[in-house]
Order: sequence, then C-alpha cells, then structure tokens
Amino acid sequence: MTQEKEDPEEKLNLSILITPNGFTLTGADKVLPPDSETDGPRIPCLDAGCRSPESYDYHALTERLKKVKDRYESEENVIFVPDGGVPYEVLVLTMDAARDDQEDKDDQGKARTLFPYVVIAAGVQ
Amino acid sequence: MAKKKTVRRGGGNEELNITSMMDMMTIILVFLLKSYSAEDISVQGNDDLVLPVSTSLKPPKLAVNVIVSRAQVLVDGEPVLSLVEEADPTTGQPVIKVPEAAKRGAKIIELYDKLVAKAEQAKRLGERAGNDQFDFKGQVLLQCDKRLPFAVIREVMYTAGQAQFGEFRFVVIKGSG
Repeated sequence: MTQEKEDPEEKLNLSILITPNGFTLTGADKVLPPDSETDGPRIPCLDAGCRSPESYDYHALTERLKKVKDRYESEENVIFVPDGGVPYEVLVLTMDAARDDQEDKDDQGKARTLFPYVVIAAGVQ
Repeated sequence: MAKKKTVRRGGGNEELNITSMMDMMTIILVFLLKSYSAEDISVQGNDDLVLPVSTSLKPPKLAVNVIVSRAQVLVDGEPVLSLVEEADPTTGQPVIKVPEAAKRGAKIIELYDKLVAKAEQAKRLGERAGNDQFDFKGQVLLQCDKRLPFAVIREVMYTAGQAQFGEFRFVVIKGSG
C-alpha cells in the first residue's frame, strides 16, 4: 500500500466522534477514507451497545491514528466530539489513546507522540 | 606530648550575627512555598468523586479548582450547585443532570456568577503583583467523577468558558503508561 504524504495546503482538522456505538474519525473536511474494506472510519465497540468504558476499542483507535499521523506528520491537534451520554472516563481514555503510542517507544523510553493537543467540541446534543 | 591550647579571642561577651542566617531561612521558606503551590493540589476522593486513571504525565498547575462529583459542583471547595438524578425519557435509566431551574440555556447561573467573581479576583491580584507569573490566564482544574455523563461536564465547561475560563486541565490519577 502506498502512503500519501501531507499536502501543505490541506488542513487535516482531525475529529473523533465518540458515540454510544464507538468512534468515528473525520478529517480534511470529510470522513477519513478507509484504507481497506475492514479498516473503515468507524471503530465499533468490542461488545454491542458499548456497555462499559472498557468496551470502546482504544487499541484500534491508536492503530488508525498512527496511520493518519504517518500521512500528516506535523499535525498535533485533534477535536473530540463526544455524545452527551458518553461517560467522562471514556473521554479520558480516548485522550490517552490519541496522545501517544505506548507500543512504539524510543531508546529513552519515550512513546511516539500522535495527537497530544485536544479541543473538545460541544458534541452531539 | 605537647597539648594544643585553644585560644578564644575577644572574651566571652560576643553576640551571634543572625542576619545571614535569617536571609538563608527566608530563601528556603520562599522556595518551599513556591514548590508546594506549584505542584500540590487537593484531591478529596469519596463515593461521589472517583477520578479516572490516565497515562498522562503532566503535573497539575495551580488554578481555580472546579470539582464535579455525582452529587454537586464545588468551586475552590465551596459548594455551588447540587446535581439531580432523573430517569432518561428515552431509556428510562437514571441519569445525573444539572437541574433545569439552575440553568439559562446551557449556562449554569450560580456557577457562572461564582467563576466571574473568581476571574475578577484573579485579575486584581495579577495587577497588584505586577508579575507575569500571576496574570489571569483563565485556567481551570477540573476534577470530575469518571461515571458522569459528558453532558454535565459540557455544561460546566461551557459555563466556565462564558466566565472567561477557556483553558481546562483534567485532574486524573496517574496510571501505568
């Protein structure tokens, strides 16, 4: 698979919608295109109905964000759009998943930075 | 073997000069006060306030402290508002909410008034101090119960934003990372 690099004219505006069904990623003023048939913009919960904060697939979210970061290396901002009914703990765990990749550490033990600067939008009413 | 004799000069009426000692103590005191104020915040957990665990490593900074527990909202330790638990009209499940009577739109009136007073107080202090370090920066430390629905926190954040507090730091428990 060829990975396109960042176009300086193209603004990413990466957003993560946190809904009662999982995550949806949007960016560059559109829903991020899937990299394959199984790797779409929506990351559903590990169990139907997202019954607990642990049901959200934070690992899959980090994996998707790593691919976005590969393409937009200088981008550090992310906009969260949480649904009003989502527990606060999910918001914090999503920040952790978006901030850095704990599985990719350098010689000093510092994790690879992904999108550390979070703006929280009003969300789905 | 010859013994060395200690010779005292000036006789026995010598006074101890404590000026340098006082200077040293003052420097140590200022250093300690600054260290404590920069790094310590008060976190009082209870059944209604369970903070989430995070891998974040950033230390908290001193700012206006807003606590949102499952029962109430406090500003710098003072209770401002009680939250209510009502059945959700669509699911029937009990949900914690800000009482409708306490709001104007999404703005929580009591909280807004309290934070505006805090902002004014902080600005006055900043002007008197005449030091950038003490300037009003509109920062809020948010301690929220991890089970709260985001809708409650959104209203608290919106109200704080209206009262000139636009930068939020979420207080979490440091986990492994």
